[in-house]
Amino acid sequence: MINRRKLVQYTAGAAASSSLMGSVFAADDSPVPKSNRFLLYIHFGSACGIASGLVQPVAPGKWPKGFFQEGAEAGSTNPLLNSHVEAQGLIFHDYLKFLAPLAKDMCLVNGTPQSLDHNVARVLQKRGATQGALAPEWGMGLTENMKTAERRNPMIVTEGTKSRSTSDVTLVKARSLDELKTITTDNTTIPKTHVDPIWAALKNRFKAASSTTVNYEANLAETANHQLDTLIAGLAPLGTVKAETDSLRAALDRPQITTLVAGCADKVEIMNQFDNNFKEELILAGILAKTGLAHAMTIEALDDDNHVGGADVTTARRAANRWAMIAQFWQWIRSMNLQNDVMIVVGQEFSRSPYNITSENHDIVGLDGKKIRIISPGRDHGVSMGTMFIHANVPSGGRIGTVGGNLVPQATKDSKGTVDTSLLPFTSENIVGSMFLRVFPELFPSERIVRGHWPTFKEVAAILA
Amino acid sequence: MRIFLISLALLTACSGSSKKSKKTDVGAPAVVTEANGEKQDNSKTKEEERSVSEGSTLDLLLPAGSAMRFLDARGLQVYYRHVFAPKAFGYMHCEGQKPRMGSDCDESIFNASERASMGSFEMNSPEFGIGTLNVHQSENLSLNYLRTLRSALGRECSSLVKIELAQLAAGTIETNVLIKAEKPSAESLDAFMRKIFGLTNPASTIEVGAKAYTEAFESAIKDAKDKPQANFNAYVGICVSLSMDPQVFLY
Repeated sequence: MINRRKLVQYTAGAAASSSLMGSVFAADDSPVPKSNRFLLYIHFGSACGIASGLVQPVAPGKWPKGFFQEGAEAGSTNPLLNSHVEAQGLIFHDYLKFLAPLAKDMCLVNGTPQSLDHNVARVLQKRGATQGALAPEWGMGLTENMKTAERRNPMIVTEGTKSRSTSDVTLVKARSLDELKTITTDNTTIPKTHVDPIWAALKNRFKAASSTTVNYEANLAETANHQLDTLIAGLAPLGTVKAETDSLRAALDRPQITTLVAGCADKVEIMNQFDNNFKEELILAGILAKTGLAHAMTIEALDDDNHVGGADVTTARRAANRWAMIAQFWQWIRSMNLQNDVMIVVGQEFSRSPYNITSENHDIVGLDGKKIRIISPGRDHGVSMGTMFIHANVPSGGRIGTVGGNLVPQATKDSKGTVDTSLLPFTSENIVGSMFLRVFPELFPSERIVRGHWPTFKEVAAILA
Repeated sequence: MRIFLISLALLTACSGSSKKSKKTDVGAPAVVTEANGEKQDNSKTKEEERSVSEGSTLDLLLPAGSAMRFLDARGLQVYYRHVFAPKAFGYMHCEGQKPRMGSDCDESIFNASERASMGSFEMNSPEFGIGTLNVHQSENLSLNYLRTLRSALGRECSSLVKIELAQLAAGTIETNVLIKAEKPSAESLDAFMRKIFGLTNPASTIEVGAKAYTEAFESAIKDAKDKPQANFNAYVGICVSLSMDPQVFLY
């Protein structure tokens, strides 16, 4: 099996050197987990990309043509979205300027959503395929590749269902640490003593399960055994992380978030969007990453669909609060020295269109601290999308792919936003798959392994450079 | 470009004489031919453990048969009502509770929030968001499903065993569905399973591993200091295990 990446790499330097044969062909490209990797995927729904920071201008204070009014040079009706802070290649409006110190660990990749239908785009951006059965969620693929002889059913917290390539993973739905503890332990009506031989007999029943008309999952017995063992014994590591849980909880408490957004003009309204559920989900994610009990988690964080107006204000506020928590979460990840093991991906179905003709009125606090009333028009579904990656080894402060005039996505040849019109706009499976190749090389040693989960995968050179 | 093509040709040619070659039939044990010509069974290597094996090709043909699915709370209740009868207050999840309406208690052995984890939910209800199990084409065994199933069965089986052990002690086992004697027999476990499925035709048979369970029961209570408690626990374990046999909830 030829590893094309290595082939290209070696042929460039030493065309036909037979001494390289071993390293090119004998390499085993099976995933070999070395540490507890973790993917946190946070979905921003169909919230406006401009307001949520997933679609950014190419220069501070200068939005491309048609971002707000089709075909016209214009800015947002909300002046806070026109005021920017630049950090490396990233450009944050006033609601998100607290993200600037994190820019070195961030990379924004823009591309095409491939669909303007919620239900299609959602699956495409979370799984890289048009149907859930065809490809796994990003975290499921990573979790499957974390399988070892000792950890045969690695866990992921998600509400999604598996695809064929991820039959070994254990699915858990939980939205907090307490929920996880509950779900991973039998309730008190299940006896604890004088039942072990009976549970063993039950496990054997799953080994014997077969049907002439139904295709049982190949790993049904192994999965059932693992889950029964988990329910009977519980997850012991959850009892050993009180200090870490306390520190993460403190980092995500209101006072810390309030301090972080204190420099934003509309800070009071940003804090009014504080979401305790999101906080609990981040705590769960952090502890899973710290303990290695699970290897991925998917969180639904925003679901705005503001056709009739308000996105430039309400989405910006809600997204700002979520981003502030993500920023605090990332600082905690760094304090735990997990920045090489944990990657956060913030994605969305699609960004939105230029303004339509409907609108809402909203009061905001302007840059001068005075209250002003603005007209915030509605936006329909748009043809671009953005994905933000946070990890110690992403292209630092990178801008890969871009969104040009009238919110049309374009490919770039580098991580500085240089447009390459010979390339098609990037798609989700190529974006996320390429980032996996870059930051988790032992789990995704070759593009062949990425294709095992996402068959249409092709590398995005700018991400791998 | 020419250099690249020459390189590619050379590299490809060299691959035929590289140190090892691998048979790539999907599903067959990989056979590695070493440089010395010896064949070696590679079935326990890491790549065999992976779902993506070396050299595998895309399999675009679906296998014959239906995809595995799981019975939801409503489907399971069709079976469970054969062996678990509601009390005056309803099923056990309503013991000591004040339900919003009577049907909350006698409709299912699963309480309202559990029904969502078991794939049954009302459209446009808060549970819809987490009740994803049976609205997807493919189906998986999640911890939520298995845990919820065991929780509900644990409640009902504890109650059932308590009642039936009392009736056994009183010598009135006519209405017992599980406990016919101090220890289960293969026949009594087969009968319990037939009861769950509602099988009344003697010609219809079902295999539940009854012999293994009777042996497991013996093993579970052997050396127990508290015999009554051990008997109770073991019978609850038998009840839960038979009720969650894969034949019950997989289809």
